[in-house]
Amino acid sequence: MQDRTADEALLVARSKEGDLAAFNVLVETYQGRVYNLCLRMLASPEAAEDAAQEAFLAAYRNIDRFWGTAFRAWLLRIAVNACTDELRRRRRRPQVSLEAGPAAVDGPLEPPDRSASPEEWALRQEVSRHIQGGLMRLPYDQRAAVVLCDVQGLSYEEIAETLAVSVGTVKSRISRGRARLRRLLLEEAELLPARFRHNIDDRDTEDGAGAPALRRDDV
Amino acid sequence: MFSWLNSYRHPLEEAELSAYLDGRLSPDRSRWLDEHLRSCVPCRRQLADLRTLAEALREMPEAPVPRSFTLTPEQVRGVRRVTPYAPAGRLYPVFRNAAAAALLLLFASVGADIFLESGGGRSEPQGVMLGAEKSMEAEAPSVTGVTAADDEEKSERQAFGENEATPSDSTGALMPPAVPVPAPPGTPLPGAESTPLLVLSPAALETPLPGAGLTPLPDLALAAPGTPPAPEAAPPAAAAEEEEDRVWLRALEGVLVGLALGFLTVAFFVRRRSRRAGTPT
Repeated sequence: MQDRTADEALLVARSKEGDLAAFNVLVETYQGRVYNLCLRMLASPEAAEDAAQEAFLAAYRNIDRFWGTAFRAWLLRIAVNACTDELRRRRRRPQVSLEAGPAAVDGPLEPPDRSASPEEWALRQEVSRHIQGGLMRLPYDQRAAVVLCDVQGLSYEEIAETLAVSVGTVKSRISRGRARLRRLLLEEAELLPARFRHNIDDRDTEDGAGAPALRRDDV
Repeated sequence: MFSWLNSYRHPLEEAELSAYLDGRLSPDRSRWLDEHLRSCVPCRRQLADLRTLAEALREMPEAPVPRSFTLTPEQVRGVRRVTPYAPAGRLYPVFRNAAAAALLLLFASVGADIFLESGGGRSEPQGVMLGAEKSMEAEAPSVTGVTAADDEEKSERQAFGENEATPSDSTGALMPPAVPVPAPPGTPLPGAESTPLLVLSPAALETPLPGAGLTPLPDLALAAPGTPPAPEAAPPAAAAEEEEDRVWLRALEGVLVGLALGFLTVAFFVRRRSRRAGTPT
């Protein structure tokens, strides 16, 4: 961790001096994270690709303004902003429909965990497709907070840094985002695979142990 | 049948469940919620759902990048690097010193205020007063000037609601009694319209501050033609000037307090900003 930070500081310093190779090392380090963030925010591989590229260009342009140690949060903030721009651009010229996106998002992907069975993989694909659809129906701010927290695994503090808001705001956005996402998914609970659709009797006896389920009766 | 009510029964808990899930609830609330969950089935279910949801989100497959996003020299060639924010190391002292300067000036003006209060600086206004007399004579014909000025003075005093017999002005004690020449009301003399500015002393003309209108009375009385500026008449004029100076100083002090606070605030934020990561637009 310490090493990574030190290396990063060095790479940032060299990038500021105009060392493109050093900057590209940073790009390679973070492009997976940045691209996936964009993908979850935009639900369209093409849009995510454009936004990610735009984000790295913007980062290069603005590297002199980076001041501090939280490079990852800084970069992710640029990525979130790039997604906002991309969303606006696509809304203005809607020949590429984002609504058509969710189904296509995870389609061509390779299973990251090759030890998982094809059935398990298919299930996860199915679930994540629904979740992506739900994410897209969240307000932008809540979507960003939930994606950064639950998909990207950032701490509340780092999310606060990334979104330039207070930790309290982050907490409330995550809370409202999750609650809303839960309700949205419950609305289409019938469509969810069996694992996420336990029936009521299971749950009451189980008392939350085992695989918990999203329940429609709570809505 | 009314199962949809469940999710709205514990709005507070709903907001807290998410933080609880992430272990971000204060120990107090956390203990309280532990207790509550033991007895509340809907909340327990909701928590379980949130946990499932968070898990499912975490398990969303990570997509491999479709291509490398490394920048090529061609991509970067046309790109103009955005200039950095002025380093706080340079900006912060600027505002800090500005705040210090404003504070120093503030002390100086308070000092001057106290000096005036204790009766210093009496001799200066003489020249100004003579100037007032000259300009008045130039503008107003001899006799009509008197009546016009007195008329004006009378209306002025009435406008301020002052009792003519007992001038309530702070300088009134030192002021020679201004005896208004009885002029037939309703017959404005030719000079009256052209010389309304006479009621204001020259200094007040230069600096139209609120409250300056209260001071012209001694000037007028002194400057009336036929009464040469007697040496003993100087103190009231000086007092009026002082009064004006004080009004000035008060305004100056107010401005300086504002400036000092403003600079301090900016310095604070500049410093704070420098500690955080630079933020692109």
